[in-house]
Amino acid sequence: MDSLISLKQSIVKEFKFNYEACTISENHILELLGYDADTVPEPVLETIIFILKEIPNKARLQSGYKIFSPRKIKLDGDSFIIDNRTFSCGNIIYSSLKNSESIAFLVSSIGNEIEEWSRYFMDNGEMLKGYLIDKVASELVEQLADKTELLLEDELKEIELKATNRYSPGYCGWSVADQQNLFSLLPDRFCGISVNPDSMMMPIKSVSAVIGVGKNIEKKNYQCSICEIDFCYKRERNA
Amino acid sequence: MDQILQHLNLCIERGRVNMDSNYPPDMKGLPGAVELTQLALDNGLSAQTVLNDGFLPGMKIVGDKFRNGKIFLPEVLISAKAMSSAMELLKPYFQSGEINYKGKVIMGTVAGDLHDIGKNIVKMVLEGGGWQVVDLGINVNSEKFIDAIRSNSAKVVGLSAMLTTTMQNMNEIVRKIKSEINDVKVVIGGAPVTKKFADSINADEYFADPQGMLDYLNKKTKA
Repeated sequence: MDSLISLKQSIVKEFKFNYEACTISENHILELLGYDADTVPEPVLETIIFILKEIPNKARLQSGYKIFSPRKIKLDGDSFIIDNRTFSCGNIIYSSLKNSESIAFLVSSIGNEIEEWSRYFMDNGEMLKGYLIDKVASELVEQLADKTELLLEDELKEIELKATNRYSPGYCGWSVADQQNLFSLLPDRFCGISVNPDSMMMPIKSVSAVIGVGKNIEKKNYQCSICEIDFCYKRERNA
Repeated sequence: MDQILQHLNLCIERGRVNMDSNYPPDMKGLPGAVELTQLALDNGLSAQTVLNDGFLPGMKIVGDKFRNGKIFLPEVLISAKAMSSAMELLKPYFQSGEINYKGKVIMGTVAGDLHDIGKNIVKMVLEGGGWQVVDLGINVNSEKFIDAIRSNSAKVVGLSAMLTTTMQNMNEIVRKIKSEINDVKVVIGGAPVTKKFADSINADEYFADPQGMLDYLNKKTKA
C-alpha cells in the first residue's frame, strides 16, 4: 500500500482535446462497417471522407477521471462500494477489480453538435449520412476514452500503480442504472455530461467507466465469450 | 412495360437514384429510379402497379441480401434512398387514394430514450415495403402510443429502445397498451432487446432486424 499513501485524497482531472488527439481513418471506419477498400460502395466512401473532413469543426472533446482514495473503497462479493454507495457490477467486472486497492471513474464526451448534425440529415431523408455520422461519432468517443485511459495509466505509473481495463455501466453484466451513482460521485456536470432519470448520458455520445487501481492487478482481456450481450461495442471492437 | 418495371427494380436494388447520379458506376448515363417511375406512369401504368411491381420486389431483394449478410446496412440505406426519391412521384396517388398502403404501423422510441437511428432505419424499410408508418419520434410514453393507435385504427405498434434501462420502460408501455386496446399487436426491437425479454413482458413479437418486421407485417396481410 506504500504507493497508495500518495492517494490520501481523491484525485480529479479534467481535459479538453483537439480533434487531432484521436486518429480515425477511412479504413478503420470501413472495417467497422464490414467493408474493405475493394468492396465499399462509392457513396459510402465519399460520405465517410466528407464526415472526416467536417467532423473536426463539430467535435468538442472532453474527458476526465477521478481516482478515489483507498480509504473510501470496499470490494464485497460481486460489488464495489465507494463512500457507502454500492455498485452491483456483477461477476465479470468484479473478477477483474477484486485485487484493486483503489477505484477510478473515467468519463469522455464529444459534445452535442455531432449528434445534432446526424439528426439533421436523418430528418431530411439523408439516412446514409445520418447513420455514418453516428457510427464515426461512436468510434470517436471510444478513442477519446482510450486516450484518457492511457493518461490515467501514465499518472498511475508515476506512483507505481497499475490499472485494469475499463468497464461501463450497461455492459459486462453491470446495470446501467448505476450511472446515477457513478455521476453522483463526480463533480456536477463533469466534462459537460449529465444523466437523465433513465440513466442516459447527455450528450448521448459519452462514455463512463470504472477502472481498478492497484499494485498487484493485471489487465485482463474482456471476457466476451462468457457475456450474453450480443450488441456490445467491445465485442465489435475486439472482433 | 415489363422492361420498365424490371429496370426500376434494378435501380432500387442497386441504389440508382436518377440520371445525374454517378452511382453505381456501371449504370452511369442510364435513367434512375426517378426517371423510370415517371416513364412508367407516362406509359399508363397505374401507380399501384408501379409500387407493387416496380418498387417492392427491388426492396425485397435488398432486404434478403442484408439478412443473408451479402450486403451491409449502408447499402440498404442507399437503395432506400433511391426508392424514397422515386416515391415522391407517387405521393399524389397516395393522397388521392389511388394507391393503398398495405396497412398502417405506429412506431416510436420508448419513454426516457432519445435514440432514434434504429427506429428511423426500420421506418424507412417498412415504407419501402409499402407500409404507412406513423412515427411518434423519441421519448414516447404509453398515453401517446395509445392515442396514436386509436386515432389511426392501427393494428400493429412497434416500440424501440437502445438502453437496458429504457428497455425496462417497454414493460409498462406494453402492459398499458394491452390493457386499453384488445386487438393490437405490440412488437419490439432495439440493440439490447431479445426474444426472451419480449416474451417476459408479453410483447407479441421481437425482431432482430428491419426485414424481420417487414416480413411479419407482410405475412399478416396475407393471413
